[in-house]
Amino acid sequence: MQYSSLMFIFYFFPITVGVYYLLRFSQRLQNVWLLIASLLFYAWSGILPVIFLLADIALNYGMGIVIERLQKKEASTKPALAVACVINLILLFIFNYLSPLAKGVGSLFNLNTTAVSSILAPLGIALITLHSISYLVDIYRKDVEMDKDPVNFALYIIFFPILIGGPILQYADVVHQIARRKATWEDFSQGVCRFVIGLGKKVLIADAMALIADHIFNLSAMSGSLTNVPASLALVGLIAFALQIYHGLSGYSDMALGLGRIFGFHYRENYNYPYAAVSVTDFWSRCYISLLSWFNNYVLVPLNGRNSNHDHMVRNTFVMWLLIGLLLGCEWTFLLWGIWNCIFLIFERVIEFENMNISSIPRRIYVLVFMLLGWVFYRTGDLYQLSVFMENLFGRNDNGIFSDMALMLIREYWVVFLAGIVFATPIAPKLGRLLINKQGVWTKAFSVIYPLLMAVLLILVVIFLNRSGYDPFLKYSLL
Amino acid sequence: MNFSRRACSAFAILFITVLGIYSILNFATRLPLFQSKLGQLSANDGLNDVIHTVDYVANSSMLGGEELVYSHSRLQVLLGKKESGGFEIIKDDNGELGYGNFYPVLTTNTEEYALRVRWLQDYVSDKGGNVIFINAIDLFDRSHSSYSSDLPVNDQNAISDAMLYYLQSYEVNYLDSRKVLKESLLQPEQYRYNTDIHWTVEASFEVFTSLIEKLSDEYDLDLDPDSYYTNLDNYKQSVFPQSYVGVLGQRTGSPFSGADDFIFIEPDFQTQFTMEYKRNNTEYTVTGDFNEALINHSYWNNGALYASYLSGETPWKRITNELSQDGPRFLFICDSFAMPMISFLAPMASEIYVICPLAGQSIDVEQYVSEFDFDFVFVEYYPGDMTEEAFDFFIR
Repeated sequence: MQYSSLMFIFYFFPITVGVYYLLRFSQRLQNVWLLIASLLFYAWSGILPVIFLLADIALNYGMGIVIERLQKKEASTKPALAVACVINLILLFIFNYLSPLAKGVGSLFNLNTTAVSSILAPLGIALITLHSISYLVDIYRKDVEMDKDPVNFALYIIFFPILIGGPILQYADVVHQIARRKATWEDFSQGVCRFVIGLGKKVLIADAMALIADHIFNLSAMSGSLTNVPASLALVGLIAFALQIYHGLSGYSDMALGLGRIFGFHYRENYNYPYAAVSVTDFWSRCYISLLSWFNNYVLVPLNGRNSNHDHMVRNTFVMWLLIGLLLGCEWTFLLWGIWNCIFLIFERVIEFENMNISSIPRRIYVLVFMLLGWVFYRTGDLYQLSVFMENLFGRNDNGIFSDMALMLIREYWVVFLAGIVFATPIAPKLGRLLINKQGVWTKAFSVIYPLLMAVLLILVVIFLNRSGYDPFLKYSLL
Repeated sequence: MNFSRRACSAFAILFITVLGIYSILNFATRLPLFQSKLGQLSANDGLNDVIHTVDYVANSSMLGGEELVYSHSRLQVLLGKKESGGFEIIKDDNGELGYGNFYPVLTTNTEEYALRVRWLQDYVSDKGGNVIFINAIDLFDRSHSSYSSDLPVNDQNAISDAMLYYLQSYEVNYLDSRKVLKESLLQPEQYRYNTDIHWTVEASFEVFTSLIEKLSDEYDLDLDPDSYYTNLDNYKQSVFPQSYVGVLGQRTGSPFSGADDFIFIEPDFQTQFTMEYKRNNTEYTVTGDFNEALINHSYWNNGALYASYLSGETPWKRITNELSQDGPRFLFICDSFAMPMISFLAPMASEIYVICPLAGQSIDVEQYVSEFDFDFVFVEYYPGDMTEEAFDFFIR
């Protein structure tokens, strides 16, 4: 089930929220209800994955108990933690990598690998693995005491608002919220607004941009023998993809944060206008913050240890980005994307780019070029398509520069392009703050106009959802 | 920040009120549909099928769904767009709708399909019959359609060209409706609807007369020696101005597509038929004159004027001409384009069997041609329908 579906908005959401608030008298019952709703949400992707998920939850819950008991006995907990983490990683490997690897080996050696290559990854398997590892490590580090209630633990692993697009949670951050929280009217109203904004970004901007990006990248995949993609068309496709991925990911994140808030959860922000960054380092401190935070906490910190020098920093950053690339999927292009990011981050660190006296405009242009080229690695899927698209983009494929189709696409979708670009920058929140702080008639006007604008946004979302069932997000989700 | 909170609160109140009321009403009105779809599941279907069914109904049917399509269409017009549904449908400078397509049209399987038609011909001719392929027009006509901007046109004429080329190579006779209509007195805007994929009923009549001519000229089968049946003056024409929105228009919504004039043509002479047809595993039998037996007037209420001919595309149908037991017997393997043409042909035949492989239920064509003796087997498709399912016969 997708958040941006009529099923979710008009059936699942009202029932889940309605029953949740009817159970206000008992936090435990509320959690049980949220767990049931999450399992039902998960069941929409198939019954078999639910069974796997329950087994995975039981396994990790059990391993948590083992680690805690060993701690109480003052025995070494490292082996238990290592075993638990390895089991989680093996499961991730089986579901994420075995199928494409088997396909590759099968085609290379002409073997029948259908049984292995048809294994389908359960929804959110990477996210579930990261949540599980965070739980085990936080208990191991004694950052937090284990919550003995299996319902609360299961809810931490598969709470439906975060299951599709994150944010990635760290156990120590949320364990107390699961056990004790209070959803106020302010939480509810802010959550609703956030959810609708996320829906708008996803349905009105990301889905429209995805159509354009998909067509152009597909055309590029065919280019040469049947058609060609001029450089301007490739650029339009790339910009469309950049807008698709930002509004898709941040839209899902907004929906997750909004839904969480409706149920009284306060998660950390996951996006902070990364396209307005002034360096690559700044970009990755604003983009998928929870992913980087997770890797910092559970990969970089242990790798750096106490005595870290420049060499260690380079090596560890490289390892971290390699792992992030691997986590995205079994494609060389993802690994290259990880390395691409790593190179720029290390380069900026070495030359102390943040402290250099360069004005913001060239800095932003540099970040945009870095980001756009990075998305080519991310989107193209294989090395051959990567090289073809790069050649198209730089006019090295006998493909020319100018394209009527590029102009046509911009003309047909100019409103979405404009909205996509404007809402990828902090202009709207700055304007909102300005109106609120100004007091007087503007503030009053804002309090009238804002609910109307939100209502219009919701109506537009429903109108567009009724027309299309296309969801490209799941294919290009960061996790 | 008070105002910000107040603004959010105001929207949240609006949101839960409207969402709550709408969700309840939506569920209440969709309940029979849920029950019906879930009732169609068998005992062997698992929980996954139940989930799939619930999801399908919830996402595909909404209270006020048509109004939402209409609103979407209005928005498209307001934004000055020439495409709808992510370039699924595009609008040319004359306001005519067509399918969009970003990718090169491939014609790779047409040789195989032509070969199957040839094998069909071999089988039928052994039993004394003949086979003719009728190529229906594509939506896109290079000489008429005009796109001032570089919209991705779905020009499928190459498929037709390839198909006819291979048919000719395999010595299968064919009728190219593109040529027929170009040589007719009809103007291009008269043989296409703006909002539909089909040719107009007038164009269909034109192709019908051409077919009768072909049968007479090339097969010595003179079905209309007095040129009575092929004379449009012997037919009643009713005009429904601006009242037809075809399949493309229904998808985009009428504000975007506009509406077409629909000219309904029916014989102004005595007729008597029995039509049996199958839809959703139910068999229907209708008897009466042309208007009673061959036209499904219930479709008119939904605006499906074109589909009212022979009740549209159904997996199987048989038309018996009660006034002429001695006429030839025909088999049509076709798509929805052929329906008006078959109705005009019905007064001259004793029996017409119609099989539509694309109508969702598999009918064994080979069994039919072995069981019955047909004087002519007509295979008719528009290029967009020239697919594997459409030629699911005589696969060797």
